Amino acid sequence: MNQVSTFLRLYTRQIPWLVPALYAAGIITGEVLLVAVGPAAALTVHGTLLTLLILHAASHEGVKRLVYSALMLHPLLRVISLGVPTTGLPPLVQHAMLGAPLWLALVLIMRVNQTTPAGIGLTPARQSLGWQIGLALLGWPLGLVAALIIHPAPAIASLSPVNLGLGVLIITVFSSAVEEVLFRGVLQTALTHAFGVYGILVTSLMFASAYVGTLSLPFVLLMGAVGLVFGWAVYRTGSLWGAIAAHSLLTCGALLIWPFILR
Amino acid sequence: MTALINSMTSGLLDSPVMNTTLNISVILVFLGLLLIREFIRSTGDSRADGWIKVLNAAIFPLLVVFLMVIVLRFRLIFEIHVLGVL
Repeated sequence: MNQVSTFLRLYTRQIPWLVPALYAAGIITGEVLLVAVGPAAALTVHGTLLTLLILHAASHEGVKRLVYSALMLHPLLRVISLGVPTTGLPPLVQHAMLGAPLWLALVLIMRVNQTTPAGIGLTPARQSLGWQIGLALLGWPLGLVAALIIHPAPAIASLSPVNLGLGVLIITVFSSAVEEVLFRGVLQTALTHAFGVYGILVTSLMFASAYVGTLSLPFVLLMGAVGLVFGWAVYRTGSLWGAIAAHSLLTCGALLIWPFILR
Repeated sequence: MTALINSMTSGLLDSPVMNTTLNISVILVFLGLLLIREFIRSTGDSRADGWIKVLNAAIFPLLVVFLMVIVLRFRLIFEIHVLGVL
């Protein structure tokens, strides 16, 4: 037993990205199990990974704690989404109910690692304003492509200004912003410490796997590509704002506007 | 898009039995983490504060989920047994 423990310690010291890579693979497997086996299997995997990651993060300091605690967020996302009984509630209420606990988790994880908003890209983007606007505008056609692939039901009853305003506000705060802060802000920042530039790829794979539940391979591939483009832009510019705006336009278009225009 | 609710749009969670099982399972995860936290607190170890901080990052969001489950389940019971809905 001691020999195994020494071997593992030596191995993880030689290859520091091995354990985070195994966790990332486990998380992606958990997402695949959601559709391949069922929600109970996915919850078992994500609950186990969450507990292991908590213990792993708590027993380390510095960069390792940053990486493991950031990885906690994905299983936590799925545990929350599977645990809250939202069936039968209006879609916008579902967004708010699922996004609120995730915001709380993000704030607490940032506090654990003493991460500032600037540290995850929530800074004014004056130097890369053109890039940010360009990225944001990309969200609009992407929303159309997403709507054409999965034909989502509209999240509001009609396209009235009040419904639209409320929808944009709730979806931006509780869905688009929370996902961007989670994946491109906290997770990608942490994973680039473990994997270097390949952290963008690993984050994108995890981001894409979060959409396996749509049961649409083209949509999962689209979200993987979106994750890569957004991730690269955030990595290059150091600002999250363009990705948040693009994600918001994508989701608001796909859930609030395009379903009414395309029907 | 919305990774948070996509698992519901594909109808995976439409069964009320599955919903109840998942609600109870998530509450068990929450209670399990709470138990670990209290155990660590009781040891009085010098590193306990760091452990508790990390545990809290999962416990508090799950506490919110726990409260939502309680409120929504009571609402459902109220609607079925008092208002006679369904």
